[in-house]
This record gives sequence, structure tokens and C-alpha cells, in this order.
Amino acid sequence: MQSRIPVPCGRSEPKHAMGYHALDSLLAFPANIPPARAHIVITDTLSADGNFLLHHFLSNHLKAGPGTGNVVLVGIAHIFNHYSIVGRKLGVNLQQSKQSHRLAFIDALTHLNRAPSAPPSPPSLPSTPSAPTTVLTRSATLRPLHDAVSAALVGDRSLLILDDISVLLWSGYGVAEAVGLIRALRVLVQKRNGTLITLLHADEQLASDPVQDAFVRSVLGMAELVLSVQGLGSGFSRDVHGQVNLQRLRIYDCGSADAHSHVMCFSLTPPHSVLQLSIIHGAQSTIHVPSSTAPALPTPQTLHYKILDNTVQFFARGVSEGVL
Amino acid sequence: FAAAALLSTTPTTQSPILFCHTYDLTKRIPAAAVEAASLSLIEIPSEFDDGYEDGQDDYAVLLERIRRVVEEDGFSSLTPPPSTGDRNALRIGIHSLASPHWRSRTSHVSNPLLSRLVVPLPAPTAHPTSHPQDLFRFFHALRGLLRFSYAAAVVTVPAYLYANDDAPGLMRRIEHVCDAVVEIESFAGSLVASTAPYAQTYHGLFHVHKLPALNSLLPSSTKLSVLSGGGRNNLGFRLRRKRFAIETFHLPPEGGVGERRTAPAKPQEKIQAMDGERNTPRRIIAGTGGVGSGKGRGDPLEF
Repeated sequence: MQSRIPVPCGRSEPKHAMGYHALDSLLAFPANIPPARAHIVITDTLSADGNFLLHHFLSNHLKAGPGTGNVVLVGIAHIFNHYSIVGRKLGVNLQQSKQSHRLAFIDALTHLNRAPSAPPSPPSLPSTPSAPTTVLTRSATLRPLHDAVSAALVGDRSLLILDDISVLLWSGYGVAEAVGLIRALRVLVQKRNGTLITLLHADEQLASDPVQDAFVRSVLGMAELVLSVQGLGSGFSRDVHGQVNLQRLRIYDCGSADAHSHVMCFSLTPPHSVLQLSIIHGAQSTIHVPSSTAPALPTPQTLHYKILDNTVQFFARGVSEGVL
Repeated sequence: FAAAALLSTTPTTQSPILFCHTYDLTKRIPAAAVEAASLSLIEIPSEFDDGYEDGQDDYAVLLERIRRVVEEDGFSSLTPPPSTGDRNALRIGIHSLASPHWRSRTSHVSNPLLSRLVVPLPAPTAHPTSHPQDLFRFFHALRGLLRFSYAAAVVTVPAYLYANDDAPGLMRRIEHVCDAVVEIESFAGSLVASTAPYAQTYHGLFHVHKLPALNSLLPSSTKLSVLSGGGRNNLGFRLRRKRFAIETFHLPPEGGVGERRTAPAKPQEKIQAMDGERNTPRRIIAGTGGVGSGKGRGDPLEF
């Protein structure tokens, strides 16, 4: 722990609370780009929104030089404008990225759950041919979403962000279909050596619903890294908005290449970890590989965070500004 | 609402923006103000009405009607502003969505100044074609519609109807897809709370579960709100005849606020104290609350 060093302007900056850099150094991705073929799952709750992590990964990727593919951002809960304005605060220009085709935005909020209107809409919508946005409309399956993403992905090492997939489940698409979509998109991204980032809501209050629970567990089962954003157990605090739990998982592929009979083995993390996973695939069996027989996984790490206007401060538990 | 409150929400460039309004609940809106405002009332036809379609999804019908008002009356941000000049803002009020009761009112529509949509709501736990996702889909679609419009919607939901296990997490899902969520919890519903000392000052708690963070990382009211102190204060409310007030919730002093002696009374003098002269100060009585109620209403916590 470091003591505060007073700065001449009269306001001391705690050295241990840095912005997003603190998270980057903890994740330790080379060039701040997530590893190829990785699936990062962000879970959040009502009291602690995980959106701030998405903006960060998005801006990191856009700031990275050539050598990475494009970003496909699927906005199921937010419109492009939201990401654009926040992106400006984080130092990236999403409008420009969209026009230069470094970023493709798929709007799945405006029309996804709206019944097709019978009378045609009045005056034509102003068209912006230089920055087209794909708008998804209500359909019986998730196939159009899959196809839109497939068409939008360009290049090697691209990044696909789905914000957020809980809405898909809650809109009435079945668990199997929703999970199937994530699996299919993951395959698409892996073929391009890219990264998939999905956000879903994992409140405790929702866990008693078997459908929701199955969905969360299934998606978590496909993840290489899980970032769980939660509020503090002790309630709301002005200095700490919540905590982020980082959990690295590793998947051993011990089944056949056929997706349906694919058996996933999981290393269980040490007992004190937050997430306990048991996956049942294909032939019903839950396979636990005790950590003593597998290479030790990194222990989960927890950071506290506080959201500011244009950055987010991360610090180790118990060392926020108000405490020290 | 008082007429002044209606007009003050029309923004002017010079006057500072008011965040707190005083509504005198005993006053009625003058008919002139109602005539001048532009109101659209939406009624969803039930099985006994003419416009009813068999198997209709009430929420989809509602959304369609709202969408029509937004797009046709110039509130959509995708359409160019009307030639007459300024746009108006649309306020949408939906009362008791997802309740099992139907309330019908007459409808009338008039001219533009300030537009408001008032929707009395039905619904469909009894409705054969409604599924749990219909309500969610309505909220999600409303979110998408509002994002591209100059409108704001306030929806009230009787969430206590969904507190059981039949629909686990239904309210939470909807809360996720809304921008702001507040909950009013009355002390009257709880035996413990209604006899507590703080129930004399407040009528209930006002929970803020979620604040809007549109186009930003942080909800702006977290920084700006003095009342909630950055979000860490509990809030209570008071409902009086003339006003509904939300205040920071403070526990009253321990032991009540009635008059008290500094020297304790002896227990055997208890009976005499109750019948004693009026010029002695009121005694502190040991024992249960009901005992000390000889003269007037004693504070049940004094002892």
C-alpha cells in the first residue's frame, strides 16, 4: 500500500487507484487486445451495470493499430449514439470508425420486439449512406441476427460484442436457440481468430428461474474469461460502486468434433471462488476435474471500482479513496 | 396538478431548470389548461368492445398506438421537425401496467401545446394469449421507440402481484430494460414498520433501484442530487393532504421525542403518578407501552 503524496494543486491523487489501466494491467493482454479465439463473458446485476467494461474493450480494440480486424457491435439494449458519446469520453471516435468500416453496428433494439407496423411509416427516414446501420426486425428465429453478424465480420482478429444477450432470452427465444446462437457466433469468431464478448444479466433474484439459470450456466460454460460485476454486499457506497470478479477458465476439448456430442471438461477452481460451474452436455454427465489433477488455474481476482465521468477507477479491495 | 406546475415544465432559455415541483393535490386542473393541452387517451379494447380482435396481444396493441402518436404527431427524432417551428415533448403515462383490472374512460384529443398520453391499463394475466415475454417485449420495444423520439414514459406497475414464485424474476427482467426504477414501499403494509417511531414522521420508503445513464458511464443524478447524497442516503416519503414529499430518511432520536424527566420515577409510584397533580412533570413510567397512557397519549417507547 502506498501513502498519498500531496500534489501542489491541493488535491491528492491516490496512486493505487488508476483508471482503466489498472484493469488492463491485471488482464495482461498483449497490446491490450484479448487473446485470439477467446470468449469473454461479462455478467452484471441491476445494481451494478457492466456496460463500463464493454466500452473499455471497444475503445481498446479501436485504438489498436492495424493487425486487428474490425469490430462488430450488436446493440440489443443500447443505440449507437450511446456508445458513440461514451466513446468520445474514452478517446475514440465511433462515427469515424463506422465510416471507415472499422466498426459495424447492428441495431437490435429499435425494431427487434416491435410488430411490423401495418401502415407505412411517414416521411422517409434520412439516409446516411456513408455509415449504414443494420437494423434487425422481429422474426421467429435468431437466424437473421446470426446472418447479419456473419456478413459484418471482416478481417482477422476481429471483435464481436453482444450487448446484451439476456434480452434475447427474455424476448421469448428459447434457451436452446439463444445458446445455440452464442455457440454459432463463437465458432464464426474463432474461425477468424477473433474474440467474442458477451454481456448478460445474472442477478441472484433471477436465479430461481430454471430457464434463466440454464441460460447463464450454458453461456458461462463457453467462456474463457468471466468478469462478474456486482454491487457490494454491504450496500451502496459513494466511493465504491461495486466489484469486478475476474475468473479465468480453461477448456479441455476431450470429445469429438461434432458439436452435439461435444463433451466439455472443466477444471473447477479452488473452493473459495465465486463461480462454481457444472456443465451437462449431450450424454448427461457432469464432469468435474479436480484441480489437483489439472494444471492450477489462476485464482479469481476481485477488484473494486468506482465509475467517473470519463474513466473508471479500479483498486484492490479495501483501499478506496475514502478508506485510506 | 395546479396549473402553474403544468406550464413550468415548458422549458425557457432564461429561467433556471426546476427539479422540484410542488403539486397541491387538493387543487384540480382548470378546464382551460386541459383544453389547451394536447391529450391523447389510449384505450385497449376488451372482449366486450367493438374494436376487439380475437387473440390480440394487448401490449402489442398499446405499443402500436403509442408508436402511432409518436410518429404521426411529430415526436419522432427520425422525422424532420414540423414546419411550424419548435417541437414539443411528449409525456407518456401508463398507469398500473400488468394489473388484472381494466379501467375505461372517455377519450378526447385536442390541440398542441404540451402533449401527454394517458393510458389506463388492462391486462392480461387473465388474457388467454399473453405470455410472460409479452410484457418484457413491450418494455424493450418501448425503450427502442423512445430512444428515437422526444418523449419520456412513466409506467407504474403493481409489482407486488408478481412477488410470488409463479413468475420468478419477471419484474427484475423488466427493471433491466428500463432506464430508471423507483419503488414506493409504504409502512402501512408492514406491522413492524407501522408501529415504529419513524412511521410518525414518514409514511414509507422511497427506493431508487436504478438511475438513467443514457450516453454516459455514470448517472448524472448521482453527482447532482443533494437529496440522495450521491446515492447513499435512504429516502422516505410523506403523503399529506396537499403534498407528496420525498425526503432524506433519518431515524428519529432513540426513545421517542416526548417530554421526559431527567430523574427516573420509582416503579411503586407508578399508579400515583398517573393520578397525580397536573403541575408535576409527566413521569417516565417503566413497563409496557400501554401503561403510561394516563394523561393523553403517551409515547409507547418512553420508559
